Amino acid sequence: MAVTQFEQQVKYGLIDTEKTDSVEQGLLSLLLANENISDEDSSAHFAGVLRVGFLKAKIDDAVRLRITGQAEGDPHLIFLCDNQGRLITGWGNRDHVTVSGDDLRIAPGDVPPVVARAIQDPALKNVDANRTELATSFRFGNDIYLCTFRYLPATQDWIVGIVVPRNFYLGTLLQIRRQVLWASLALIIATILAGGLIIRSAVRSHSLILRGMARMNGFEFVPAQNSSYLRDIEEVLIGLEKAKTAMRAMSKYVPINLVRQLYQKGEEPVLGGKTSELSALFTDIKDFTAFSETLTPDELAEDLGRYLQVMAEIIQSEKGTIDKYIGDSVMTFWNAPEAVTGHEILACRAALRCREALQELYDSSDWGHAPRFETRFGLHRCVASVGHFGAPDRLNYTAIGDGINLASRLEGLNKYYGTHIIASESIQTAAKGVFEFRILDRVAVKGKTEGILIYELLGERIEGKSRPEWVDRYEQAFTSYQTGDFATALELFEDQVEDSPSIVLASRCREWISHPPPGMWNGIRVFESK
Amino acid sequence: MLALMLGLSLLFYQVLKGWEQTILQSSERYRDLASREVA
Repeated sequence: MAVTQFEQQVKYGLIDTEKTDSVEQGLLSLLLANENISDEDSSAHFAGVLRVGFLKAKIDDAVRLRITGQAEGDPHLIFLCDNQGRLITGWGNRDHVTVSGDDLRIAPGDVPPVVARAIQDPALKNVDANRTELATSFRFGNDIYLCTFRYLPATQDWIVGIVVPRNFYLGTLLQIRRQVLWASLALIIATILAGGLIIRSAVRSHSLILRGMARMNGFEFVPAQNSSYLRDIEEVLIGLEKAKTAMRAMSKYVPINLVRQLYQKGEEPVLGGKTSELSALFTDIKDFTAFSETLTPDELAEDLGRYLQVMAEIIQSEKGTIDKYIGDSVMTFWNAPEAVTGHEILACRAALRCREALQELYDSSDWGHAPRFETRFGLHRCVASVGHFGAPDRLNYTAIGDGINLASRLEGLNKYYGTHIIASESIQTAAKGVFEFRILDRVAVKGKTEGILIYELLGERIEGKSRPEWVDRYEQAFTSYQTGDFATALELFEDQVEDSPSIVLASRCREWISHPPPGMWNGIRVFESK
Repeated sequence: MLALMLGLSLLFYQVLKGWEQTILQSSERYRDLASREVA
């Protein structure tokens, strides 16, 4: 309502002065205060009063500017104040104007609390003609408010203030930031958990690999059921199992001790050997060819497999190196590739144990009605070349030399004497403290002219137990035989009709008695065949 | 991986902080224009 209209309405009683709003009350009080001033004098005081009323309404309209352009919901609060923190614009009909010194100001009691807080901001005092703009922020309640002050020139140091909650601008962004924060946190936790699981799995798998490698280093090639969720490690574990399988397969073809030695030294087998003292053992099955003709190939393979399994286990447990299987024959030596103390004794014990174990095998139900093999053994200690022989790309770890051949010949002599285990003098000399031997003969095997003494291995020597009488008698007879006293020897040999060597030598004595040996008698039986 | 996550989080923080600064500066200009309008 224009002030002139207001003045006229008051004058004619059209306005109930008890019900006017605060602005109208202010105007009314000013009008009443000046009612004694004549109309003719109106240009002085009333002009000023009318101007105040006009500016108040106009200024109030000005601060109702909608910044966002929205009719409702604009959170910007615009106000005018001075740098003393006194409001110039009001907030509706309930505002009332107060006199503050020479100025009319809006009483702060009815203004929005946040505006009341803004006009109390210390920054407001810094806004003046020298610093016309200032932006600040403050916390009010649970929110942060942004506030802009602008100095109005050509006024009584009035300042425009605009206050708005920061969330009006940043609400969406802060929401996104919170979402990103929580998502990141969840992702980090998930990453830590997943990373922990992966690391745990990797450590476990790594440990499996290390344990597997340690077992392989110790030449333990037992299959293991290891797996990992990590593909690379799974491949390594599979590779290890394959390597173990290869090693298991290899160990069935080559002496495991040899492979272990090469593995531990990190060497590859190369063509060549070295001279070593060995104890060699050859075995063979009597009349195996005849047996094989009565069995099917599968039966033969099965029976021979069980037979050789028993032999191999015992030989290996006695630290022997199985060089090769030659059909039904086994070639074994001791003291290579690893040095073995008392290898002659181990070789003798292996032969005796094999003989005993084979008897147990034949008596067992496993063997059934299969023919019982009769095994012959030949033992000799010699110096031989042992190492890798063959073509450079296909090597065979073996021992070669005259001594090895002699061991094979001794095995063959069992056939002639009807014995099972024949040992050379070198074996007897080394093992006679542990085993009981009897001398068999002085022989020159095929291809040799020098005679050697051969012995039959009878068994373990038992402390305090004297030798069997028949052994002493045989050796007495053999002594007579060696001196050429064939008649005495024959008499003694003939007393032992159940002893095959005695029968053999008795027959030979008879032959020499009827046909005395030509030249000087040396007691050597020369064999022209193997 | 943890370092990568922390690095990404820092990057996100920097980007969001930049957005916030940009928005606040824009809003400041916005209010400044409004105060000029009132003036």
